[in-house]
Amino acid sequence: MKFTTSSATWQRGIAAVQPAVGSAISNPILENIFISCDENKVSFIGTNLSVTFRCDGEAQIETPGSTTVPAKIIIGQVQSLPQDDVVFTESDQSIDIKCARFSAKMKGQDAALFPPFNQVVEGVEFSMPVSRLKSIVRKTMFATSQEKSRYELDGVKFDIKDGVMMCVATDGRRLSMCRYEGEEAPKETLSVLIPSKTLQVIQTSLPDDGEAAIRIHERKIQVSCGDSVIVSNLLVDNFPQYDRIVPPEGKIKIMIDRGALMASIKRASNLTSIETSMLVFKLNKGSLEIVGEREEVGGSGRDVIETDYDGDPMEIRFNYKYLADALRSMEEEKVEIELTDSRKPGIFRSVGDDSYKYVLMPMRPPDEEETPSA
Amino acid sequence: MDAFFASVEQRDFPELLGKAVIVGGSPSDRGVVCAASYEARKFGCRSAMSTSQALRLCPQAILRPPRFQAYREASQLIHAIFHEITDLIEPVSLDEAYLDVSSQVCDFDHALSMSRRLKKDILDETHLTASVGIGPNKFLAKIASDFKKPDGLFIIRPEEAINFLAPLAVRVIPGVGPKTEQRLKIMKVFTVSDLRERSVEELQEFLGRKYGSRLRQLAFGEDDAPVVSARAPKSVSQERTFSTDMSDLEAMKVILGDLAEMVARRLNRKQLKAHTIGIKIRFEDFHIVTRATTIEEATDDAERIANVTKSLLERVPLHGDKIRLLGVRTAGFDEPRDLDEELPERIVQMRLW
Repeated sequence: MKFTTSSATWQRGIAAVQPAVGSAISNPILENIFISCDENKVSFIGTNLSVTFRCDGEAQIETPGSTTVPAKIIIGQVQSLPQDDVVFTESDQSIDIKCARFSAKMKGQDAALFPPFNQVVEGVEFSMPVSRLKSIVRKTMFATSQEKSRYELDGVKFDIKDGVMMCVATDGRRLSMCRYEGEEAPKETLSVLIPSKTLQVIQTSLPDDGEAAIRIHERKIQVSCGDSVIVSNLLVDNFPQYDRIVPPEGKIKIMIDRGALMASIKRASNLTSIETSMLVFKLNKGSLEIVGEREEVGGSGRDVIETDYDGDPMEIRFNYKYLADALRSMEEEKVEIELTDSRKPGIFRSVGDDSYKYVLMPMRPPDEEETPSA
Repeated sequence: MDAFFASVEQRDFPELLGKAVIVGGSPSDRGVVCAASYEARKFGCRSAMSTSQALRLCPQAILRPPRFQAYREASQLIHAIFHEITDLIEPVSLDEAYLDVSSQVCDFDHALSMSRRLKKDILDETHLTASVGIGPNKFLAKIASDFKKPDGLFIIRPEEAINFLAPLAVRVIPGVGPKTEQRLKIMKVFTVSDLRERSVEELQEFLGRKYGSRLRQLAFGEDDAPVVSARAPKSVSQERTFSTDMSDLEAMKVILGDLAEMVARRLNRKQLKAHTIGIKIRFEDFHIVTRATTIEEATDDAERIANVTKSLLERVPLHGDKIRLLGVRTAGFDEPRDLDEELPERIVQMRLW
């Protein structure tokens, strides 16, 4: 097997499939990247069996063929290659890579041992701009559960009905949801749970522009865009009925400059308890006071921002990290906050983008005993 | 799953396919067999037997150290498939579980087609084979799953149960081990149908009140034990086999201290406190002695557990005999505490549901 390609194509291919590369724990061959060339195309594949990523690039092929290369070694090399042609030669699993005056030799493994790349060839199909898909992923993925025991929450739910797609993630403490209505949205009714790992690969490895063609069949999803195809298993769906969890509108509505709120939280958060990450939000006429207390060092920090609030004083406590996650993912200048009381969830939206909603449960204040809620 | 650990090894290392494979500890460390491939089982290798014995039975067997992470990953995949069928899953081990599908199926034929699909899904997803048994209760499902291993699928319909069980040896009943089998032999009970001919009173006299009546029920294919999905742990224990037999009491006490610490750490992690503390000793000749005691105030404290186990050890007449294994077991747990209550000052992150 022998081909020549640009160092840019080589770097793009290796870097794109790298996040999907598996670990030797499940199968040693998965630590390798599969490389094949045929006609005028070179393909790179990385897989951990549940997510598979393929990236294609242009190349001049001298001898078609396929092999696998150890990912760890290759990844270390690609970033520092000069801008020149990369010449890849393989014979009997001996691999030779040349780029300008750099050359490397390594041992590959038989391509036949690598799991076959099975594309999703049938099922429900639709497409959306990849930029929109990535924005949805950015706004929801942080709210997925990191707890190993809650793997039914370690993904984002995509619910498609009547041409509207709802994308929801929750870890039980907060819930992040995005609505998408595009001309290309599917007409079918469909509900799938896409694993976080897959979304992470989508986020890092798909190109930034173009249309993402999505195909879903039984327990598999395929997303193709430009030079890339990703095929992934879907999660077993025990996702909670989120429409029952999302509260109705809050009684109190305030509007705040998102940048100012983020900066204020950042300042006050230096003095919160490391264990609880709790900030107290105190609303008074025209202002929002944010207070952090750090008992370990006997310190406290406070910051005040202007708001359009015009009601009775109230206060509510949030884990500032959970709040910052959502504020960071938003794009608009202003954020609208809906509150009811100190024990009811806060609802956060982007002003000017009604497709996004973030629901965050407060922290119960220390002096209150738990009373059974209705 | 069929020869689970060994099958995972054969899947991940194709050069092991078709060969006798033993997953277990090294014979020089007195390791035991965790799993034996079917090729190795032909020679009599069984799990829990010492590795050295297994290698004597089958010298050509390839010994592999266990890779628990890989088995756990496979197990998670399998459980994900189970969850697609039902949430009423009772895991027995990494590779074995009961599924209650009574509200998912209309009849036994439906359960049969569902099981075919289940086997196929497991094979597709993990490249491993599973044996599935279908029955009207857990007992019969278990017998059915053992009946056609490996890669088996067997159904015992309610109307067939009585005739099916009759000629089987009593050993097939889960829970009937060598000792019970021996006792039953004395009573001239060899098969399940022999068992049925004995009165409850007779069985109870020989086997104990509870077990006697349960065994008689099982003999008629009756089992009303429910499939319980999230089961609280019943005991936490830790044991150690020594690489050379030991007879020094003080050295044993040091080891009990180590074991107590490991048990305490696990109790702690599981938020459990134990009322019952016990020790287990296996002698050179493999006979086992256990001692246990109950303490007033439940504990998860390593030192407390260590002290109790040391005094238990002193009560065992050792006479300088050599022992090969020591174990510490805790049980009798208080209700676990609510994790959220552990945050300082009761500042609690509230939950959406």
